[in-house]
Amino acid sequence: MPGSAIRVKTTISLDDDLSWTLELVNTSFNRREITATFDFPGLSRNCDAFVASPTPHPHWRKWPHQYGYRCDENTFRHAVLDPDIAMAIPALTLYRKADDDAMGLTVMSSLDSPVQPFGVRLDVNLAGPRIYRPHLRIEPRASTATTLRLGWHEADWRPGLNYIVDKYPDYFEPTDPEIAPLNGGFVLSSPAPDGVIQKWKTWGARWVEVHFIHPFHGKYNHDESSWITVKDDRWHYDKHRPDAPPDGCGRDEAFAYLDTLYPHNMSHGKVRDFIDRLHKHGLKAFLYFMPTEVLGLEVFDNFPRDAVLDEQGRTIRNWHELIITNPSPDGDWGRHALGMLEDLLDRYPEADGIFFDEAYIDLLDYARDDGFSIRNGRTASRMGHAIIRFIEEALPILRCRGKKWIWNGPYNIELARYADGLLCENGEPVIQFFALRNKMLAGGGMPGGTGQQLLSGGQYGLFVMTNYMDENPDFGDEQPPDDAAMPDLHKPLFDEVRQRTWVLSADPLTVPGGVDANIFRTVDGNFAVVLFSMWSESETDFMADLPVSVAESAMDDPGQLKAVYLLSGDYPGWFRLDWTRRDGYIDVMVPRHRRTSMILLVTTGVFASLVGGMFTRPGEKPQRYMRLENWTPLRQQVQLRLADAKRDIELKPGESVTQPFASPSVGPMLVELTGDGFNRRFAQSVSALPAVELSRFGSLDGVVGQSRQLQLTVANNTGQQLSISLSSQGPELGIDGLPASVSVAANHRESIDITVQLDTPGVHELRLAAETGLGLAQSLVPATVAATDFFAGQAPTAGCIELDYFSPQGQGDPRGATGHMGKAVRRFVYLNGTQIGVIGSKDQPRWFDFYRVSIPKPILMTLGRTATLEFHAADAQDFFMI
Amino acid sequence: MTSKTLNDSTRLASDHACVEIRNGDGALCFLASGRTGPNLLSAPVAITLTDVATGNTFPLVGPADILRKDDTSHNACLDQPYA
Repeated sequence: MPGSAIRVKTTISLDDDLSWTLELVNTSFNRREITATFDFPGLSRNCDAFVASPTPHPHWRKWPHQYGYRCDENTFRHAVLDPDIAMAIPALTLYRKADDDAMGLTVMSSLDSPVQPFGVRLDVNLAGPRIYRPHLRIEPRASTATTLRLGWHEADWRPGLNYIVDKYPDYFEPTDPEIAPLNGGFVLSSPAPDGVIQKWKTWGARWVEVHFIHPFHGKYNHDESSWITVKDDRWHYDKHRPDAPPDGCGRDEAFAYLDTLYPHNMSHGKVRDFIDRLHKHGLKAFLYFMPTEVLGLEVFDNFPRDAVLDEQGRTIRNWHELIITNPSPDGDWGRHALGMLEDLLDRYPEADGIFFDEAYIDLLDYARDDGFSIRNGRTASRMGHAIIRFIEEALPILRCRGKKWIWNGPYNIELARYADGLLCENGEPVIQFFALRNKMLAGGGMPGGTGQQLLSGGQYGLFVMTNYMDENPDFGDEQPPDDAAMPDLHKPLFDEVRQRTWVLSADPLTVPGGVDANIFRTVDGNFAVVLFSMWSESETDFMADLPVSVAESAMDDPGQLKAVYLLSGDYPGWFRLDWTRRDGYIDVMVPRHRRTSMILLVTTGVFASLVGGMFTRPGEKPQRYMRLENWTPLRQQVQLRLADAKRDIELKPGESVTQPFASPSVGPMLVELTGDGFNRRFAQSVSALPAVELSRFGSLDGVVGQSRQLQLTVANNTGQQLSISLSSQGPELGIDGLPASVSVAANHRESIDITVQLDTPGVHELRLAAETGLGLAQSLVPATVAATDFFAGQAPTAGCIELDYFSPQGQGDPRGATGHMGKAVRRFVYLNGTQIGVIGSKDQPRWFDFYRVSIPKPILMTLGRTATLEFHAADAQDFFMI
Repeated sequence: MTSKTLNDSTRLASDHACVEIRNGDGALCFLASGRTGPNLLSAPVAITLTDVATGNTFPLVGPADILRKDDTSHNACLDQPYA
């Protein structure tokens, strides 16, 4: 149709990869919104996929997966909330490892900002993988272009990431050499006493987010001599008091009321003192600052044109009394925030930089038009682009003062490239993909307690946080880790990978199922393999031997491998391991892997490690030694400290020195090795083995009617042959193949394969025991047995009830509700008669707990085809009735 | 352009030939499906344009089409439903 067609020009350029551009020319007089869809039928169904997302390895041949980068207006939320949607990097990697037909292909968008929306659909009902570029906006009589880049590589997902990193290296590398050494533990804190700071230091903290020092969110610099902190959060709760002014009163009236409740206990002197004391303990101080959310009362009074509006023209609340505010330098708020940033840095020149909170908010602002965004025919402004424009003006303010900034989020690569350091606040491991080349990264909030967070954080190269927030009305006093010993146990491991680069060659590691692993190149040029298992929650379970193979192709110079060391989060200390070379692999056997192990393959460095065995058998008193080894090409002058004994030693290149290690009768011994440019301080143990041990390999998760195999290993650690009685307890499970007893020779092991029938749905436990007169060993094997076969013999692993109907446009907190994140809100959700959670509120919509109610595993396992779901009102007066 | 012959790891699918790149003196091929030639891209890819306002679609490239390197153009009549 002349005059109204979209004219398309396709341009292909071929260099190291293929760049494929569609130029769309709008010959009409109407604005157009076009979706360009690319189907790859040649790659149908017989390849694996990788997407840098919360679900990076989709099982797309089992069920469809849809990913989007800026495809959905709520992508900024989905980055946190919905692992099936959010993409951190707009790219799809497809690969197939078949010997005779191997392939690896990555299709990606240009990462130059603003990146156009990029979607992926993996669905066996399509002819092949689908990539689409939706919401392409073409103005009348104008044009727009969209490009795909296609790169081919080895048949694995890591080379796909390597292709992306090689194209855009500065996105993934430290912004400057000064920031990388700050990699390490972080703390979110208001001013804290010296004893607490010292504890953070011991745990490996490097920097502190100095929070809860401002009068309210939106006011970070001012001339008041003393003030009440975070008045907006306090008002959120105190406005429900009987004598409070009505909700909806002005800012001044609300704050005047708070003046009657709280003392003015913060001052500039107190902030400076805290920064000073952090520095004395060797920690860096980053001042809290947030340009993307502001107290609503402040916005309405002073920056009414800068509130971000949704498609219905409503403001968007994202935390308590805050609304999302556009930081574009074109707006009043953006200019004000830039001035405030400058003044804040001038007021506290001793601070090391800025902590930029909530940098991930990348929704569409329908109050503005950025010239390129469109959704369903409506123009809008992309918040992430406004943040980038703010950054471009803020960066010179920071840099000319020598300051850095660390961001909470973001979760897309365009923003992440600008941050000196990244923080994932709520356990979004997707952020790991932004730090592939040693970008500074920290985080917390992963599921589980501190111990589990440390374990999973190690896998991502991500350092766990702690909090100290006595100035925060949402929290009480300090919240110590649930297991205070865990940070101490894991610090030596984290120290080795504080500065790390991902190994992105194909198939660098081979480990058995049930063990998660990653491999990093350390800053010294050595290689660290992090291994962790979540399966063992009992005190005694372990894998008797964990075989690990590292491909020589993963290492820079495998021929120069000098030694392999083991560090464990379960058995403190450094241990020397044997290794063998086999057909292009380095093989290592990790003894008694429990939860966390790390093996270091070293070609250079100076190390102290225990030789002679990690464990002692009953009745044995063998001599152990600390071996000091210099694998550098230089002569090294070092000091070795064993408990209180210090010894200065000079080592020639390649030289090793041993000295007796007398294991203390109680607990491990402090070891410290200090030399030119390094200091390693760790607890060294020699663990005593019991007479009898029982370990197992395999898991008991499945669907009713299935059976599972377990391999048991019974170890006799004594010097005499033993007849060991075996027993099991687990009435919901059928056990076959377990003998009543087994005879095990002195210092030997016997393996036994048993079959477990999964008879009854639910969460059970199989308790296995091996007993002699010399002792008892137990293994507790969790069994999650599903009533429903969800995917071709696969049991569900997690479930939740989505609350899209209620949030984020849902109901507010009930009157009188108090407590952090709605803990005191009592609108219960019942599933099959069991209370499983509460309904969230629009007052706090960003917390993912409120979008979903997780289904506890015991209930998930028993779900059949019908279920009863009930939503209860808080009380008879609750306006939110279902 | 650098002369480059890729190894087996670059094969895309059993029903398509090897991916190949050759220098400017020879054939220039990519995503080859047996219909390759100098400066041609034989793409096992289908491209469709969709007008969001009307839902009309236009199949820009079919799986068997051959795209020339730099002069391929189409008129996508998105104001008419594609029949």
